[in-house]
Amino acid sequence: MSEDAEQPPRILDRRGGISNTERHVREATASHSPLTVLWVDIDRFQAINHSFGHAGGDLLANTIADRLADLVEKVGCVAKMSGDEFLVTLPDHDLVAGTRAAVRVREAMSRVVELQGVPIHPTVSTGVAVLEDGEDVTSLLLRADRAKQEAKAKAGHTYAISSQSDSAGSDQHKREEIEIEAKLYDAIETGGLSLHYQPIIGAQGHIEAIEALIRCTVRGEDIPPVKLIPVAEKSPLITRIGDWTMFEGAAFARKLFDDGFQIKVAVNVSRAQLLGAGFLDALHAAIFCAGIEPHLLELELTESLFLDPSDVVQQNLQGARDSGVSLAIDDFGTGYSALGTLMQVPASKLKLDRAFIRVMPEDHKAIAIVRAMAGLGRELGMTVVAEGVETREQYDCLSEIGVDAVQGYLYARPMPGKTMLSRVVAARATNSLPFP
Amino acid sequence: MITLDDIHQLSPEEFEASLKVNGIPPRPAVLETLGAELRKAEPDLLTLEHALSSDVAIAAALIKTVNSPYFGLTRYVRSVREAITVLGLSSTSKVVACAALHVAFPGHRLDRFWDSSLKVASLSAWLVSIRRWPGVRPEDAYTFGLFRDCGIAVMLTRSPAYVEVLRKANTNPVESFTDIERQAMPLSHVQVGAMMTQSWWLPLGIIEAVRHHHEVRAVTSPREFSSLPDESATLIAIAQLAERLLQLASGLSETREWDKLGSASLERLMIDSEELPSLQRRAADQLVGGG
Repeated sequence: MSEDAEQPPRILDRRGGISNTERHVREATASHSPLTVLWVDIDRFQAINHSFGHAGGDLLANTIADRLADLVEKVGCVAKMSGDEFLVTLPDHDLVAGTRAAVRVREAMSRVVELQGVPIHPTVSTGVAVLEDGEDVTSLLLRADRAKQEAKAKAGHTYAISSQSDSAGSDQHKREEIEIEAKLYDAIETGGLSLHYQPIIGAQGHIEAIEALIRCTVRGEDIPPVKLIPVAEKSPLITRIGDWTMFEGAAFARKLFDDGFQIKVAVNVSRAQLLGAGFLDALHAAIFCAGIEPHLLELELTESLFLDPSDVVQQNLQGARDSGVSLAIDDFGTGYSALGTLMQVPASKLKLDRAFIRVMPEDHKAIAIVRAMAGLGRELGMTVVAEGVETREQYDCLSEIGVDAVQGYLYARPMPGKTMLSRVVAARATNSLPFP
Repeated sequence: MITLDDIHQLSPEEFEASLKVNGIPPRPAVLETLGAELRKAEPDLLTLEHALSSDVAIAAALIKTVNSPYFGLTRYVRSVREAITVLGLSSTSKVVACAALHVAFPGHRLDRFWDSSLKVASLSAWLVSIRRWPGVRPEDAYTFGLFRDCGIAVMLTRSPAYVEVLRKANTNPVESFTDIERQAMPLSHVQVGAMMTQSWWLPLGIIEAVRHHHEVRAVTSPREFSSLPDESATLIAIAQLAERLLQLASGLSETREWDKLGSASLERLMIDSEELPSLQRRAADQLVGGG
């Protein structure tokens, strides 16, 4: 490629940076496209200047500038705003893309720099600000700078996302969702997703099945499934998380099998996954990759899945059933409870929602409903499971009704796979029940 | 690039053994340790150093990889600690995954397969080091080059019939590789590879590139095709070019993927086909240099 004399410099100065960002703000506003800026500040720069002199400090700043320019080449531009501060302007980047860029900046900057023969490990603090409707360049840059100070206050080597000062509750909610989405990307790539396992106990005290429940940890922070799943369902990430869950659950069934236990492992499947064209491929790949018999995997489907029945969902469920995987209807009895569901879905297990169990044995209406649902399940040849069983009284009431199995804290909380494995192995050794 | 010469027919004993293989190789313990540190708010370098140093094969491979010319380091890295410092944490975990991959498939039957994967990986990293593409680092290209066909290795160890499917897919210049696989089996090596790379915690850009690396549209219009990030499309194109350069250098061209993906790859990489002969000479030098 020939050098173009008209080409702007690789790294703009402060004035160039601001006017360039101003231009992008105008363009983004006109075209209703997103724009993100990152304000990047080198941590402990004073100390480095002190130890290595200004020449050392300059060398470090130039290296960081070069790395930033490499990183955003062709997708954005870099300006040096002061001795140790840089502005990265990223057109077409929304908060998720912008936050991902901030993560990349953090990683890329921490590569070693040699100053006077001494290898040092630079870190940066980054403020992220996404252009709001009608906002001007000054407000945008001020917000990025403030967010950067927030990141600095957290001991550096991190990023902070600017919140709009006058944001309404719904914007705040949206911002939280977007932050969770960015964290999910991080989780998938650092092994932050894991499965915990909770046993479903049959009438004889044996393990009828084990349900796999997702856990997510990012940089020391736990994101609960109730926050994680709804966000994932609105993005392509649900497919990645869903595929991974099916494989990981199947792999756990394989571990149990290798230890001599043929126990079904149940994983939760969302509507968004079942609407995907690649669902059956992923299911087959999970079974193949784990090396299990399909009957050792069960898919748990929430009733709300059938609120708006779709042909793709039906085909995927039938395909799953045909390949030997079993289906369970989760949280049955609340929400969009429709008995027609039981006719549409080739499920073999009915899991009664915890809402009914929680108020037992005091609430006689709940007992009557559970009795009726259990009878219905039995009549249809399904295994009936009560969820959320926490007390002996609830258990006694349920065994009088005659459910096939129970799940809940009375027997066990969800636990890591290793703990579950050692419990079942130890119980076999002493010829006792793993969850008495 | 895998050819039939690479695969000897299975003996009855090997067939028996292949049936005992438990799906894809599990995530190596050393990656578990790395991941556990990466998930902390403040990863502890010392813990990482201990974990990596305790596995001699991994430590040696890590240092060897960091010192390969593609990383462009000006000084020689001698210790695991230095390697972690130079690479940064996320790149370290990629390099460790690469080092662990070969070990995860014991036995010599796939040696030539890994040898050619390694060459594609090295040439891919070299291409990135001489021509920059946005969002792609040499270690990304290297990792993708090595893991791109890991699904084939799994299929071969699981199903002896796959050899014949592979022969058909490798020699068909028109139909898509994965379509040919799907005519014979319920799933394709790309799905297995994607599952394995995700289970080994590789970055999403690499997982998606593994999943779609036989699709022309993934290279020409990644976003429209499957909301694929641009870097996945670039990775696919780089490895395709690297494979082509390897075929030209070795005189063996027993796959027909270049017929299907070549021009799209060159366009994505903004390389003129007239540049190929000179790239080919330089690539051959690289291969001889053993970098």
